[in-house]
Amino acid sequence: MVRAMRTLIRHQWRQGRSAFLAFGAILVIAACLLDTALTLLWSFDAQYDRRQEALAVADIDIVIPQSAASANLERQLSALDGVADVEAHPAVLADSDIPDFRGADFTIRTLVSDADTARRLNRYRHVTASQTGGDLYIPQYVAEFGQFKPGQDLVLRMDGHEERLRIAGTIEDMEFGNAGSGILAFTMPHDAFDAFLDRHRQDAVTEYAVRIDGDATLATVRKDLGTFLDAHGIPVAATLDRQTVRTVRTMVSRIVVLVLTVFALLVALVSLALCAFQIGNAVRRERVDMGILKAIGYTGRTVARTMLAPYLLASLAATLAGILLSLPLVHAVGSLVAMQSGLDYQAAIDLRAWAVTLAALAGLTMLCASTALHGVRRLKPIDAIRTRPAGRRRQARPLAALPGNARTAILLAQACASRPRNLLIAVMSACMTILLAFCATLAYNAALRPDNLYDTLSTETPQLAVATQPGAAREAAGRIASIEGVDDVLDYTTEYVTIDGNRIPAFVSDDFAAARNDIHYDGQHPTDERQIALGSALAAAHPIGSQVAVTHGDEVRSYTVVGFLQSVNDGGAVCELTDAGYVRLEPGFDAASHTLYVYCDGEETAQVAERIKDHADGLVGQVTDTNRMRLASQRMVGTVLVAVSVAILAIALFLVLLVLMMVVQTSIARDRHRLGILKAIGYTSRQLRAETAMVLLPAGCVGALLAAVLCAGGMLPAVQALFATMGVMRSHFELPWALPAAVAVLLAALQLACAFGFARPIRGMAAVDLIRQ
Amino acid sequence: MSTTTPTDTRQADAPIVSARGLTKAYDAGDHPQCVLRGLDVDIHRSDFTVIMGPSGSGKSTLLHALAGLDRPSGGTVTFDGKDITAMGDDDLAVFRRHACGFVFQQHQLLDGMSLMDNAIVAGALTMRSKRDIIAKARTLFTQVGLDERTWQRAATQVSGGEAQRASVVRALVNDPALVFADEPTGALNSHHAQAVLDVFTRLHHRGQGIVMVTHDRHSALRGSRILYLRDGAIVDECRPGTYTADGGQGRERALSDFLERMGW
Repeated sequence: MVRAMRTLIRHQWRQGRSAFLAFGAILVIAACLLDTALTLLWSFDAQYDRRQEALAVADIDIVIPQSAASANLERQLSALDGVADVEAHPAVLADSDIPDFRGADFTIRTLVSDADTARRLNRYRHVTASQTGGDLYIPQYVAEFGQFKPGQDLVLRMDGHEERLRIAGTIEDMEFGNAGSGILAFTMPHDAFDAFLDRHRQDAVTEYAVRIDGDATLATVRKDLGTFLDAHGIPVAATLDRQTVRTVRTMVSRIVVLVLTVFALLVALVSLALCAFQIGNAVRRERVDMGILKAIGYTGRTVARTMLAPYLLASLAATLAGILLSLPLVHAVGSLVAMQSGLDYQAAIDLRAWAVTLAALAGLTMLCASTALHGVRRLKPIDAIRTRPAGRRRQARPLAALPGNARTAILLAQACASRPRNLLIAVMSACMTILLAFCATLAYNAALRPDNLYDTLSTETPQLAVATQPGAAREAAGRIASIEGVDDVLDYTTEYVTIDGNRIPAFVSDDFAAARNDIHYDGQHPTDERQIALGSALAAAHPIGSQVAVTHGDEVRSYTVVGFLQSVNDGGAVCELTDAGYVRLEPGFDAASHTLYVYCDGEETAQVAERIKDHADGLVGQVTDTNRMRLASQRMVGTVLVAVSVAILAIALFLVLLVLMMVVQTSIARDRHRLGILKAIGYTSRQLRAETAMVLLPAGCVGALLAAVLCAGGMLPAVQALFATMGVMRSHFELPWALPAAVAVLLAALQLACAFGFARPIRGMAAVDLIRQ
Repeated sequence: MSTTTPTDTRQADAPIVSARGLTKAYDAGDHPQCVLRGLDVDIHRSDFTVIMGPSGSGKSTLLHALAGLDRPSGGTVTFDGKDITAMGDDDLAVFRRHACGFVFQQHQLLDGMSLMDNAIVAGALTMRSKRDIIAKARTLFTQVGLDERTWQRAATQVSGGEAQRASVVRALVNDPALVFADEPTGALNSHHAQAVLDVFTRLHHRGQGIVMVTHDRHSALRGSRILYLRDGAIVDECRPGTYTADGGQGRERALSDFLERMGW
């Protein structure tokens, strides 16, 4: 019996080799994407957690001015409920500009500490080192993202000083190793650090690394620490906890996993539709043979198994091939994600991902094939033997009842003739339209409308940022506004305040409505001195209408929350205050230096900057060409997104071509006799090729248009949901209605052209041979 | 002698089809199989030409070559003054749709469609309006003795004779110059065969040119001109005259003598 089944399975394989190969090829892609997603999901997070443990990452980090730090404070903190361990690390914390960070200026708070002091908590791991030594160890994130290498010089502009430092090596830091946490940590050899500390005494801080008890709650201990420091009047420069940092640093990997999984499922759906279509054809083709097998004593179950087995084997082989192909893909995607996260990620084989991929795709194949083969068990041998093997169903409606002229009616009749074929084409068109519409959305907002992407991910960014001399903001603004090429000037200064123990950026302006990038996603901007808008990270704790205490130095003031803001770069920890609102915290603000945001659309920003320096001399200080940074950033992100779009486009085109090739080949093989008759009575090859292609059009159009409608209504919410995982509550992405429609029309046209091409074998068919068959 | 050579049979009307030096060889490994050997023949529109001969003599091959359904290996076929052997595949298809109607041994209807729809599929090649095609097909269905209930059925739901008569309708719907029939009664019982042959006779009497291949002497009796093929060449022909409803003893005898001479 087993030998007989093996023979029958071999026969099945030979009969439909190309069908199995096409099914397998699509499944390879699905398996590759799914395994990559699952491997990243499990191995990335697992490596992240292991590395956190290995480097004894603190649960909470509190940075305070060195002047406020003491051994006594360390003891007091250790004695708080839920605190298991506290370790103090001397450091320098300051806002820094890093020039030539991947071609642009990069502004970030930097925490510089001693690399040679032994630590129990928040240890570093040296990843690479320069042969010639140096002054500075940089985090992996800076090395990978900023494109710096050991042995090169890195410039840190801090407090007006420019430090040119030779890079000694790269370090992996699991707490401050990524810009997402708002602070980047650098370390220095002991002697270099001492000298550096001497040069930056005003920025000297102490970082308290806190470990909590196993049964304590992170949020509670963090709040208690904040309350304790507030109560003792100790200013906090920064607070971080490992959970928040983990969320920020694994954000991109989670998005990649989500996108890959959705893509894998769409591709798997197409492969399953192809499987059902091919099995349907095989059942029709092999009907007589199946009848004979049943007649000589094979059970329906055995016959069905012989037909199912090749698909299952093809599915297993394809899934394994896809898993093997995923190894380099995991490595490539992992490197991309690692670059963003700052984790020294080592792509590794994940057997769980293998098992789940294999079980999911083989299981789905089994389910789909078993359903398609359901009728085989009920097949009566005598019916099967008597029926013509290529028996086609009677068309539902006569041509006379179909709309249009004779040719149109014939096409419509043919188009409705095969439900499995139409289902396959519709599913494929719908899935590919969704994939391509996603690509188009990314490309449109990253390449054609790059401001949309930039504004979604960043806060307000003008073309030029001008620092005024103390007390000269109003006069400087008036002077700059009159300069040729300047469209608008907005007083928009970033200060720092403390809320819930966290030092966060406060955007201070009297006219948030004049800003180009509206970052508020709920409520409104503050309009009077008692109002505040909070970033998304603070939204849960401070609903609109509630009062929030804001600290700046020794001043503590209460404000009414009127709205929520998004700020990806700051992890949603920001706020907005009016000038008068900030003056309540800092009475000397009017007399201090402000930042003026200068808008000069269509102008050469460097020239406008020169004009500002000339015309407002004595009123302004540094003029920063933020437009240059913006363009560099847009170029970088745009390049990545366009590359992603092209990759998706290539996969989609491959799938379309493969499915169409199989459908057309199957149609021609099944309709050889019919084609012969039509050729004999006078249909030309071109007409028959066109008919073969055009009968696929209605199903393709229906699938593509339904998906286009779905995309027109659902793509932006889906993208918004994707962004929400990054903390973006309001996406600026646009999707013109014509874009999914254009994708659907182009896809339909592509299908028509490809199907016409794949129907070329009709040309070589001689009518008389086809009739003789 | 009641028979003449093909070259002597030229009638008053000019031949619509002329084949000269027609050869057809099939590649059968080391020994190519020659089916037609330099054959010359003229076909007249006024004739009901019957091609007879033993199995393998090249009857169907000749029919297919004359109708532009198959390409000869050598020689020329001129149809209504046009050399169809020089035409490309698509030009040949266009030529066939206007000039030829086909009736095959198996009816070769599209079995997923009704008999009427089969006629519409053919009619759509020369007419755009569905209404015009249906009107014409209705007339033809009536002429071949099929009623509306029958022509609305699928090819698989009617008898062989009905299906074959429907295939005659399909062959005629585009007003071809010639109808080519390849053993049209070969798969039918005698009753159905008689009905189909009656249709052909009526068509011929109305002036439709017909070329029919058969190995059945009763079918051949309907023809006005009988060509006999052997080993890929026409060896002789006879003109028993026009078929009448009573058959006519003289025609039957003339055909019997002819076939006997041919060694049938």
